[in-house]
Amino acid sequence: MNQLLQLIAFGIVQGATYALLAASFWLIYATTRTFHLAHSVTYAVAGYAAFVISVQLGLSLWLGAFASVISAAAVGCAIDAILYRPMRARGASVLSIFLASLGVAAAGAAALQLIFGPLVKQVPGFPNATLYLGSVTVTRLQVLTAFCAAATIFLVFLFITRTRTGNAITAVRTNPTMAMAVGIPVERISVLVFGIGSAMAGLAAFFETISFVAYPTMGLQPVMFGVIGVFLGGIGSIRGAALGGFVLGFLLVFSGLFLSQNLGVILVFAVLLVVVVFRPEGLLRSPSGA
Amino acid sequence: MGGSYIADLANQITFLVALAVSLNLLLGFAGQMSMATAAFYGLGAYTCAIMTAQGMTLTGAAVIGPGWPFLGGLASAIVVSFVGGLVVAAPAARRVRGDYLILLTLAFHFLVVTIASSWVGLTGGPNGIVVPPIGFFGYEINTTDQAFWFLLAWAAFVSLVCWWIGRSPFGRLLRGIREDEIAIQALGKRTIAPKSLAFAMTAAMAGATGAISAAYMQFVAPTTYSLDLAILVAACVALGGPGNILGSVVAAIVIGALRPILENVPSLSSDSAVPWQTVIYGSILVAGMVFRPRGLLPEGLIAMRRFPREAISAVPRVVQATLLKTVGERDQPALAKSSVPNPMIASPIVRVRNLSKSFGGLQAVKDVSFDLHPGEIVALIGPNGAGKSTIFNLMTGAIRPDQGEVTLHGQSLAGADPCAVARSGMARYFQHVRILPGLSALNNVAIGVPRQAGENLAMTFLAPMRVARGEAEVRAEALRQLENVGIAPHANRTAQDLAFGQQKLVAFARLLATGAQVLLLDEPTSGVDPQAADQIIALVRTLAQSGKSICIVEHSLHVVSELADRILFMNAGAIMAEGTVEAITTRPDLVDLYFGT
Repeated sequence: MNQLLQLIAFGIVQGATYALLAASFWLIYATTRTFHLAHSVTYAVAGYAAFVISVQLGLSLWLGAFASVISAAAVGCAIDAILYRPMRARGASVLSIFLASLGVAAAGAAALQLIFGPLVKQVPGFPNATLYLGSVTVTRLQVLTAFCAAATIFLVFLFITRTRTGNAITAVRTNPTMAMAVGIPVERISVLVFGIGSAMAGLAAFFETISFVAYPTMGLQPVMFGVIGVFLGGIGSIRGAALGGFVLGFLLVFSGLFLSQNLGVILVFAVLLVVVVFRPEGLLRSPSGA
Repeated sequence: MGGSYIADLANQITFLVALAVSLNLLLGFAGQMSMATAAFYGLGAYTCAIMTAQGMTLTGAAVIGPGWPFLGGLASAIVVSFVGGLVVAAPAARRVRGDYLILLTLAFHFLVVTIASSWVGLTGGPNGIVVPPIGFFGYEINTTDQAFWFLLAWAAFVSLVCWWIGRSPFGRLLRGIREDEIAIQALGKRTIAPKSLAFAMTAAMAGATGAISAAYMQFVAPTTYSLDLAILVAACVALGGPGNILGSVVAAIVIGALRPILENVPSLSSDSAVPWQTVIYGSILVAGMVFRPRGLLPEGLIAMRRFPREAISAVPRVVQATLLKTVGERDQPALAKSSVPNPMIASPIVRVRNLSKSFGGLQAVKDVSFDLHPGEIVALIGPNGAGKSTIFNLMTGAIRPDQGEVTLHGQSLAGADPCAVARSGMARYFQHVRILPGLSALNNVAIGVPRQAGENLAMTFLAPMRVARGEAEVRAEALRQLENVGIAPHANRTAQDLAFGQQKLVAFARLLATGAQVLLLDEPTSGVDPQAADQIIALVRTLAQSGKSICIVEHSLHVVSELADRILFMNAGAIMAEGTVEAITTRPDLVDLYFGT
């Protein structure tokens, strides 16, 4: 029983992070139909931004967090505005946009390695402590990570469902041509979702960096898990994507009880395969709405 | 391994060439975005390593493999990766496409890498496995210089195989699937088997290359088979030109040469050569996709010259006499050309009985029955939303009826998909044309010719002469159909560069090339200029005279009155009236319904 509670706690912590990543990828992917693998570069830049501000410049961790989020948003918007937008305007195929995204993903990680070197970078200084909640043991950092992730997803959910701009995003997602016809500035919405989605990834990257380390290819696996979360939960809504992230986190944590960690990853791919083949709309079916 | 440094560099490039040309088959020709290149390369390498490893592993345990010679390892790598390719293709070829395919192949990549680094007992985990060198019948390759000629031959062999497949009718079928899978199925071609085969061939070639590279380097470890490698190979294909094998070879050599060049730049440390290479090819990939999305050597650059332009422009535009003659002779030898069959006497080819279909609460088609006779032109008319296109969808098996059935030559088509329907002789002309934009007009039509020996991949290699003869016939037939519709002078132009009216004529020629006995024409003259419309009208009339049954959905009353022997007037899913042009157009209630007055 105690072990079960402990696993649930870890599942929530892990799941919240993956849910944040899934929601961030979902926002970009579902709205603009861009398979944005270069999201991994955004993530890594955010990690290194925290390192530059909080370690190299010696400023506070709060400023580091701020730098992560802002730099991620800037990178995401820049990739959309400089690269994807001209390609879309020229009627480029989904495949060529994806290949361009791959190019950014490869070149970006290599450029980070050239600038910062191949060694990992630590950002210490978070006043971490172990918390004992009944029989469950978690660290303060884990609680903060899970809380920030869940709160961010909730805020973005409210933004999409309750505001005028959010409605515009939903309109672009469901029918870009119609959205343009009724006067929604589709290209501005596109930059906006890249900004918000990237900022969400930046937050996740900040927490990973202060919990562990930053390194050039740090974005690849989290983004991969975010993508898996999206397709697992359902590409129709942010709730589906977040659910997929949570399922992913729980799967990994609980499989750790019986299997080695790598076998957990294999289990995740097996579940993904089953869902993609037999239930391509994802676990949560919702063709419209947020 | 001993031998010169230069030879080793060249050898590394041969691996990249082999991977790039094999991926081109899948990505460039079949249009299937696979990120699993490195995974299949690794799968082959590990299979060969496990099957050939001898003595002790790095950790001191006894090896578990049978210790086969190199050729055995190579053969097992080919088999395992071929089967692996089929397994990945099983969901990919059926339902999964586009973004899902990217996800699925990415997941497969991570799966292979994870197994390679975690199943220590089998793969040696992160430490990897030591592999015996390449050897044949007691002769061992131990230096890079000795290996070079073998590896060069291998890369050349793989390139030739891919080039051969690419230019074969099978390659054309793959390109057709890439352009518009639904159109290909509607021509009566199966698409799942060719796609699966393309997957498996690409996987087998990547796996074999992996096995050779493992034996060449005498070592396998998980870090070699990274996603970066998959991106590198995809970059070579994209930059060289998807669908152009020579382009992949050139791009792989250029990009592969980057690293050794960078390693020898004095100001760079050898550690930074790899990231610099990645930055450079990543940037080239981005720039290439933005400024030259079809690659350095676009598809069809060389194929363009195969048919001399002069020879084709010598063909006269439309000669009604030859048109009647060729169409008549080929398609209906049994019928006398001069006699127009009387539809009321001949027994019907197609019987539609009590078809009904609802979409949710909307009953799109209600209890529709009619017959089509040989040599007869029947027009389906009625206001928008009357259910005309739905009837075509039901007849061709694109959607299933709730009730009723369609028979062709007395055989029920219940449960048949569009491909099976087209094969049994009922073909459809799409309202939205569904041309294959990236193929030449000639290839658009050639792909419609049924029962091509060359569309069987095995035949392409086992009976090349027969395939070549068949292909010559197919091309002649395609050119003849293009002459029939009067656009033979444009045979070599890419379909997307043609005017809309010309595209419609190409689609028409493609329909004729199928040799189908029953033609369902969905608004064949909409959106074309009057001259082209008259040409189509004449063509349809000639086809009917040659004995084909034609059902036409058309809004233009001019076209209908020119062509139709019989009119079925539909409204709200049901047939309201049936009769000749005069009978229908003189009924005021129908005219009111149609024009909405």
